[in-house]
Amino acid sequence: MDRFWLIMVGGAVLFGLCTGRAGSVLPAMLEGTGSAIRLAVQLAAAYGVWMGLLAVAREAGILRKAADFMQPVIRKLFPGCRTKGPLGETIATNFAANMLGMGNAATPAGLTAMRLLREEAPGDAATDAMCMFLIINTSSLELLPTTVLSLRQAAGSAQPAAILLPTLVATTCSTLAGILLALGFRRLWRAP
Amino acid sequence: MTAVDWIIPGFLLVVLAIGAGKKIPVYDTFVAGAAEGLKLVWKILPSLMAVMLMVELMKASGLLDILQRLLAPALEAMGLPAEIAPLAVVRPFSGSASTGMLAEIFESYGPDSRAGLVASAILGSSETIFYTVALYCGTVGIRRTRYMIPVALLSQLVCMLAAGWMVRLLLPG
Repeated sequence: MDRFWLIMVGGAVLFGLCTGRAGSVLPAMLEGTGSAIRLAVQLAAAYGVWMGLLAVAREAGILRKAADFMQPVIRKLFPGCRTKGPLGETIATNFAANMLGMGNAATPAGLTAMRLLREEAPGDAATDAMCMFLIINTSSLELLPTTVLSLRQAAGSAQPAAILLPTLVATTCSTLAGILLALGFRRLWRAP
Repeated sequence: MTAVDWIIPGFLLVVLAIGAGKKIPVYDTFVAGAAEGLKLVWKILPSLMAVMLMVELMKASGLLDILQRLLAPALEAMGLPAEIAPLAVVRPFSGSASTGMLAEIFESYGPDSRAGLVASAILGSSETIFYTVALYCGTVGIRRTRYMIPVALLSQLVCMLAAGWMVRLLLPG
C-alpha cells in the first residue's frame, strides 16, 4: 500500500501540474480528508448499531453455537490435522465469527489456530492446512455485510438491502472456488 | 415489504430474545460493543483520510479518468462496469481504502446505480488478502506462503465475476 499510495499521489500531483491544474491540489486534498471525516461519522453511527448488537449476540453464546455447528465441515477440510481438540475449536470459532461479521473475535481465534497449525509443522513454509485456512479466510465468509449495508443507507439508497442476495451468492462462489483451487494447487505445488 | 426487508429486524429480534433468555445484561453489553465500534472507527480514520485524499487528487488531476479508461476494456469484457476500476485495484491491499472507494463510487454514481450495486456486492463478499496473509503468516513466522496468494487472488476474481453476474441477473434496470 505504501508504494501504491506514493505513486498515485505523486503521479496525480505531477499530472495535475502538467495539465495546468496546480491550483486544485490543495482544495482536492482538503476535500479528501473532509470526506473521510464525514464517512467516519456515518461509519461510527452504523458500527454503534452493529457492534452493539453483535456484542449481545456473542455474549448470548450465538458464536459458540455456530462454532459447534461448523465442526463436521472442518474435519473434512483439514484431513490429517488433530481437529478434535483445541485446533478444531479455534478454526470453528474463527469461521463462525467471520460469518457473523465479528472481525474482532475472528482474528484472535485465527491467530491461535495458526499457532496450533505451526506446532504440527516445522520450517518456514506454509503447510497445505495453513493454505486452506488462509484461503478460506481471505475469500470472506461474512453472511451480513454490515459495513456495506450502513454505507448504502448513509448514501441514501432506496434499497440498501438489495445487495444481500448477490453478495451471498458471490461470497459462496468465491469460497468454493478457493477451496477447489487449493485442493488442485496442493498437488501441483508440493511442500518444499 | 419484501422478504429482504425482514432480515435485519428479524436478526435484531432473535439476538435480543436469545440475550434476554440467557439473562445477560443486554443494555451494558450493547454499550460495550458500541464502544468497540467507536474505537474501530477512530483507528481506521487516519488511513481513510490518506486514501480519500489520494482519490480526490486523482480525480482532480484527471489521472483517475485515465486509469478507468485503461482498465475499462478488461472489466467490460468480464461484464463489470468500468467505474469500479479503482475499487478492483485496491481491494486486495487495504480494507479501509476499499471502504473509502465504495463511498466515492456512491457519491459519484449513486448507491443504486449498476456501479454502486456491483461495488457493494464486491466489497461485501471479499477480504483484504495481503493484509490477512501478512498478519496470520507473519505472526507465526511463516515466510514461504506457496500457492496461498495466487489462489486467494483467483478466488477474488471469481468473487468479482459472480458479483457482476448476480447484480445483472437479480437487479436488472
